[in-house]
Amino acid sequence: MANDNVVDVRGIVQTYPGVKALKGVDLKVDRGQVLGLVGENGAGKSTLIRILAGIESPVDGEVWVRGERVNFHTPTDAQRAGISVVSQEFRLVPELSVADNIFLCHEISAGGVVRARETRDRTQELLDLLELDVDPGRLVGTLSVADQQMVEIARALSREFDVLVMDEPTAALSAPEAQRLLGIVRKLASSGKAIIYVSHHLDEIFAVCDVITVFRDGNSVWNGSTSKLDESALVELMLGREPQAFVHTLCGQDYHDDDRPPRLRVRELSAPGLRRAVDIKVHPGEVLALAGLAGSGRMELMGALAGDVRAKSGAIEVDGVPVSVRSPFAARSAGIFMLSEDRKQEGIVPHLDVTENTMISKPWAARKGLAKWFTLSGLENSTFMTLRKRMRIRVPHGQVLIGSLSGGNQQKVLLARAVESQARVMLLNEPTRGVDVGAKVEIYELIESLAEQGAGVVVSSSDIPEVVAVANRCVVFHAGRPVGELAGDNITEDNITALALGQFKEVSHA
Amino acid sequence: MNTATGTAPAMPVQMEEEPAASVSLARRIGTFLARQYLAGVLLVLVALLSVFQPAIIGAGNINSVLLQAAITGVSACGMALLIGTGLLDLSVPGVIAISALTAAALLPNTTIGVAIAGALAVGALAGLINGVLVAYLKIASFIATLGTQYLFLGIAFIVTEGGIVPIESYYYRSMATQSLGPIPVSFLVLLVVAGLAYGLLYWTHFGRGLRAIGSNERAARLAGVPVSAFKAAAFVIAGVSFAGAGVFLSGLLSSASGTMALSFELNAIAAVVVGGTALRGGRATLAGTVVGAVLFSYLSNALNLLGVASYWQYVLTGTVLAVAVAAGSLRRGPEARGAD
Ligand SMILES: Nc1ncnc2c1ncn2[C@@H]1O[C@H](COP(=O)(O)OP(=O)(O)OP(=O)(O)O)[C@@H](O)[C@H]1O
Ligand SMILES: [Mg+2]
Repeated sequence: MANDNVVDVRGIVQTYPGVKALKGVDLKVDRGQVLGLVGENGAGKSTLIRILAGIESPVDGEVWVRGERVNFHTPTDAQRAGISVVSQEFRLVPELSVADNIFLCHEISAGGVVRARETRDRTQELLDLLELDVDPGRLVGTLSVADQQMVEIARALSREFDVLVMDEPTAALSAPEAQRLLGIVRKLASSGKAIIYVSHHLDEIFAVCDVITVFRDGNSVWNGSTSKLDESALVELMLGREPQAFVHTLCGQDYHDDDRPPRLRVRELSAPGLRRAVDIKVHPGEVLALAGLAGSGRMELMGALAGDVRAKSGAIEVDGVPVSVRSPFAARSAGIFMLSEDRKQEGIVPHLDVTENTMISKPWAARKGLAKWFTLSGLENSTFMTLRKRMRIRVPHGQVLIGSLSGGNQQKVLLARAVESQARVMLLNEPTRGVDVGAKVEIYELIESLAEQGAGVVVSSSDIPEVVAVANRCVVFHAGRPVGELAGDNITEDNITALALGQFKEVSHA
Repeated sequence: MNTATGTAPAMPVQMEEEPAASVSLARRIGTFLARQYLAGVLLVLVALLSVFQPAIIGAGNINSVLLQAAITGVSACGMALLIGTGLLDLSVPGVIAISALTAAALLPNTTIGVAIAGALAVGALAGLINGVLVAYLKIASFIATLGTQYLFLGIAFIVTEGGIVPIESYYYRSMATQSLGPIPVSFLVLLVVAGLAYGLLYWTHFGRGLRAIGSNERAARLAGVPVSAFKAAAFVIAGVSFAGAGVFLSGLLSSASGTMALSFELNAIAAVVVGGTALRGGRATLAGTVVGAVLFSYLSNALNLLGVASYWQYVLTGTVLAVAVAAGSLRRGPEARGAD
């Protein structure tokens, strides 16, 4: 046979106004193979995937599927060719149920009538496979981001396919969920499917992929078997330079004798989703991390502190002054800013350009003169250009709509928004979700510099190594309550994991 | 000390740099022209119809088209702000009626200035009622304002006992019909109002907040936009613009009544939508709104002059509206991705 490859991509070029996103990339994947597609934010991974999904047509180049040249004009064309896609930006309808979303556009029907029973049963099967415990009748809009991600995956699995393409499927998942998914990926591969797997979690790439293709700056710069590489070699290929480690300088510093009032003081706060009242304190210059599984209460606490949900009782003080956070607006005016974990629904404002998205949270008190009322585009543009350089946001200029940025770069714009909010208390949920290994370190440095400039920073993260990397102190949540606090050298992955699972005895003290 | 698996930057990323300022200016002009394709449609229509009926491009007729366009346009500017915020106001006929009636009631006793100020204040109050219902009591905007349309109309019918209140004031009437050459003063006022609305929407933090609410309300709220206050304020501003339309309309008619502007909300919405503003919110074009208002009043005027029966006028107007909207949505702007 001339060609074993189920998918063979040759010399694909894709351009957008002002950006050459793909400059002639190649990619091949065989039956029974898992291909890891890696690269920096904005390298062009999702662009290629949109082409394979039939959402966009390339400017130049060829796609071959099972030895035949194909030209997809619509997503249906791609599905007919046996390609099923899990997009980075979910394509779910929040107002429809889980079951309806999964079978949207390929309903199980007889004579034009949807067969509700069968749809429900098939949905339940898929949910069982993914070990996702939600009611098939529940509206997707009410699910957490992680569960929405699972529904998006279930939807891809519900179709007939030979090739499964997954764009950062684990970005929103917790570690155990990600492990489960990797198991499924491996099973699918051994049943003869071809899989293209995109992730910024390199441990997953090494755990599950047979072969790796590296994109850099719109080019495919390397491909070959996983066994030929180790993690640092892969990072070097992705970035095109020697990797360098992030060194945490603040860790171990003791803030308890600080005689300034804490930036944030929370007393006896009880909120929906918390089973016990919470007391926490964050000093100026300190990074407090909140760890714990999904639903453990840390997200609910952040929402209550940011004024998104009303606290039932308790007191919040900023710099020793009691504040009332009735709304996110009130919170921001009191010096509290929150970055949401849900970039698409709660983060980006798609009709505004990147500059406006960055400046939107700058509060009244931080604006001067004419800028109090007017947006003064010249001034804002230069502020954005400075941030763009500092945070290395990949965008040609400040007037680009945020929706056209790659996922990781959107995340950086939202962090730029946090910087411009000039808040004294920064609440950051999953700050590095979807960003590449290089940018992750830059974001840690950014968090550290926010703290150095005197902010009290709270980072809530499901990524345990991240907590270990950034935290001066760490509060671990389990089942709706804080179950332990770790500081200094006691902040280890093992200790956090033990506490998060409710195994208090196993925490070792250094 | 902790170490994370990862890397720190050693050198800057290569990026396709563009001469940002000039490119974005050229692109801005490009998108602006692309959005104003309606102006072209308008010119072609004028040219075609004037072949059948030369009176259509007579100075007197242009003047009366612009008079009508000014009234539709002023209320459409307020509507455009609301639509950009993802809201809608159907109470326009009621607001026009009660504000014009206020002016008519005040006029015999006070100056024109006070009468107009009174009308605008009533418009603001009506807008505030809508705003409170929508922003604070969380009623869907088109239901709340459908209700207040009946409320305001009902008040207008009660105070007039179903009749018409004549307006005698010569100055008030000429204020509404005065022209500078072929251009009515009220149309110049429309241009100023549209300019102000543009500035408000695109150059102020308030306007940015409105567009953010229209684009992604949840994200806007979490970013710290005071969503309820901004929505209420948008309704108040829109109420003032409807009252402004009411002032011009009552001057033109020399009277005010409950029925003076029935189904006028549809004209205002149509002008905005035909002008290239999508109903789903996030952005609004004011220049397009002015063009849309002119297109609309021109069309009904031309059909009148050509002697088309009024039922057929509905059919033709409806067709033009549908085609304009379809053309607009086929020609999707650069925000297609992400803005969905
Ligand atoms: N619709 C669009 N309009 C303009 N530019 C675009 C568009 N889509 C993508 N781009 C640009 O193409 C480049 C590649 O983006 P892509 O989303 O493919 O990156 P990615 O590799 O998936 O990154 P990430 O890891 O952050 O998801 C980026 O510079 C992005 O800004
Ligand atoms: Mg991507």
